[in-house]
Amino acid sequence: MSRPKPTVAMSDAEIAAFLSTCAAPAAVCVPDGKGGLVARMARYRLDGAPAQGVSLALSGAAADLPAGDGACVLVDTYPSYDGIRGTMLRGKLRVKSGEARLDASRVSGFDFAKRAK
Amino acid sequence: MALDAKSTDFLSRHGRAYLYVLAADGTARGWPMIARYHDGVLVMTTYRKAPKAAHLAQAQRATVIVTSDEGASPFHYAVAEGLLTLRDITPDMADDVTERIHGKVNSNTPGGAEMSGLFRERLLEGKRALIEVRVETAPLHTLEEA
Repeated sequence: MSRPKPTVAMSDAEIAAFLSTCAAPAAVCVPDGKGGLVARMARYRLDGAPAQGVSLALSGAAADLPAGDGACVLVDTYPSYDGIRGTMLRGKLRVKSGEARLDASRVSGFDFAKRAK
Repeated sequence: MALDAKSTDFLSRHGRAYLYVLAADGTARGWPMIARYHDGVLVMTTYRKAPKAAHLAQAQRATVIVTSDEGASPFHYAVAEGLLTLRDITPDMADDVTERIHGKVNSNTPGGAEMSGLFRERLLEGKRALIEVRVETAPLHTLEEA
């Protein structure tokens, strides 16, 4: 009988802890409404629970990120293969005066350290 | 379309990447990846049965953010766009894909031969797929300091 594969999924609390402490910027991608994608890196801020989304600073090249449904935000860290951790947030991106807010409809996280447990 | 030398140089020297496609439902889907730039193409691999494979199979184009190393300051990134192809890695492709991802390993590369060998062994298991994005544009950007 084979053993079930260990899950690398993070719990909600683990996702919150990761996003609160990870210094890496976020990768942000939004459909442009014309069949293309606009992708930029941006600093993020977690204001509440990850399920509520994140705020993004739209400075520099990120200033042209459009508002829209179907946005995808990735934050990850890769100190080593077993140290890979990351989160994915998907939802609606609202843009207002130099800042954006991702209203998350789906949040998930992964932690490769769990592979060995 | 020719890329400028700065973009080509940056893509050649960095491998941390975020691969994005437009899914069939009109939303953006993305995944952190390790990508290698080789002869105008960003090369990546994934498990054929990974959830991302279905999205990649239906997409014809991809957008790939390739970034500076983690913690680098200033932090630069390129936003590469181009045609996407996804195909199974067959045993006869293992050597070519290994070289495109790991380069030509020589005896001066610490652990290089071992790492490259393990990667090749994984490919020979027949469970992986090759992701290629032929880069058409890749403007460079700098993330502003916090």
